[in-house]
Amino acid sequence: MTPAIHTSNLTKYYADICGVENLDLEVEPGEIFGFLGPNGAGKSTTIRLLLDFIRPTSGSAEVLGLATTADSIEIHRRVGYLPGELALYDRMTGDELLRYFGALRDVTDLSEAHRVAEILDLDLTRTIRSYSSGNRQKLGLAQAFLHRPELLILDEPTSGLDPLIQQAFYDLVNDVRAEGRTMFLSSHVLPEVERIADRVGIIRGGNLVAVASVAELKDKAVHRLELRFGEAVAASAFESLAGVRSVAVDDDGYVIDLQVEGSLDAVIKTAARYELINLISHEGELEEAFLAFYSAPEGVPGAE
Amino acid sequence: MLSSLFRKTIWDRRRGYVWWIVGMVAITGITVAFWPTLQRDAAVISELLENLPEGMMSLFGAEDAGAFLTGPGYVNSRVFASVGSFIAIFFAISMGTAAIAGEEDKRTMDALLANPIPRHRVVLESFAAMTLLTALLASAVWVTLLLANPIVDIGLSIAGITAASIGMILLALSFGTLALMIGALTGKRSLTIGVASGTTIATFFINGLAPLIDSIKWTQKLTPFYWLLDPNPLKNGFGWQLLVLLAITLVCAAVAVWGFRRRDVAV
Repeated sequence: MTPAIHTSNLTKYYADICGVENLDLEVEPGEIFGFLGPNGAGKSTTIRLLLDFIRPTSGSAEVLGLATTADSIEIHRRVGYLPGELALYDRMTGDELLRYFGALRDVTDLSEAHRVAEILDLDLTRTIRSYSSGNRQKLGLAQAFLHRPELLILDEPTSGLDPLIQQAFYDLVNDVRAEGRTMFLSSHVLPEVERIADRVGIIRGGNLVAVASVAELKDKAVHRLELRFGEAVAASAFESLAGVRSVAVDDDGYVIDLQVEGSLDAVIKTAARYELINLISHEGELEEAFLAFYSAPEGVPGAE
Repeated sequence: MLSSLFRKTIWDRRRGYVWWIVGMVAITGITVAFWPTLQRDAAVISELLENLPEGMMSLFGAEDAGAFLTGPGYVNSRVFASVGSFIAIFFAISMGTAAIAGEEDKRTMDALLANPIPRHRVVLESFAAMTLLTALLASAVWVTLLLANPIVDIGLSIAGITAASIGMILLALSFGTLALMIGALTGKRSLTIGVASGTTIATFFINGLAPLIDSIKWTQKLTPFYWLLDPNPLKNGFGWQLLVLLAITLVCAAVAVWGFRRRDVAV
């Protein structure tokens, strides 16, 4: 089967600043692929190479089996795209923008775009100028879905969306998955990608450092737990448990901070033997996900 | 109206355009309306003009006071060699800039190009919209002069009015496509406006002042203004010189297509 996205040695330098370097990436049809990395890691650069807005310094990429530099128009016809630095025509209303982009695609039936706008709770009758950044993002998503593309390439789709609307977006992602369509989405938020993606590629400093299924990522993910007890607890109670990477004791033993890799089972069972007042699980940090895969030195240069 | 990039580009102008037309009609109308007064006081004005430095007269777009005091010479000087043409030129520059550099400056280019529209069509449909609206703007001069000519008896010919109006379109398009080209090559809005406007002003003065110094007189042939004003189409009708302006326009448009296809689009 033709991969939805395939890059080989894809490299982009801006003058002598590295955007991405020797990127080898493969996204299968029908999967939701999360492209994870801190800001400036090269996510947008990669995506803009796929859409032929910028041209590779070396290497090549194919989208839906089509070369990005030679067949960009056919790619655009079949792909829905949400720009990372989203800006749309201020003087149009949301509805006018959808009609315009629909016309450029020879699509007159805007029901899909309207459906997405409704799910995301967007008022299409107002001008884009009057939209909040969240509303602009919603319109950006509606236009990306407009022609029911077989592949969606979304650059930071949830940025600016409030939590309730993010949930609505996750529902849209599930629809896409159920329909067997493909989605490539970038994010700098690990829990979000864990939640919606099937596989994850981690990019840092323009280099792809790991590709893993979400299950693998979760296995290796490091959780940070803060346990508050009603009694003093010795660090030694946790130090030898499976998966525990570090233990720090605060507040004379009443608070214990833990870093745990993989399953929390042993830690929770041990904690339950004491008088446990509160348990805070800090959301996995992206840096920690990197550490799980790859101990890179700090300060890897990155550019976007 | 939003069924193509061409139509959308025109739609973008729906609010301000009428004022460009109003300005153009006003300038032309006022100029013509003053003709009877000018003629009545011809002796005084002639004396005034003859005392002007030679460079001033040349910048007015008339060879001498005698030419200025003929109907075609006067209208040519006040409309085609100055304000009227400047209105058309700056309108065309604003459209040429908005097409690519403006779109990139507002960061909307990514979303636009994600549609299945080739880059050369972005350039060419913008060019077509600029051509249409610039032509209509210059037509305001054409219509005003055609209507006013018999009323104030200014002695213009229909062929002359038509040729000069076409010349104004081509002159404006020369600078408009220059802006389109710079935008296509660089994507930088301020640079595009600066270079295109700067070139307009500079070439206007070169065309007006170069003839005063024999050694640099030839440089006026490098300016688009020369190819409109030197053959004086308002008086003489259509001449091949206007084709030079057409050539400038087509070359700039071709370079714009080439330039925009090959480069990276700014975020």
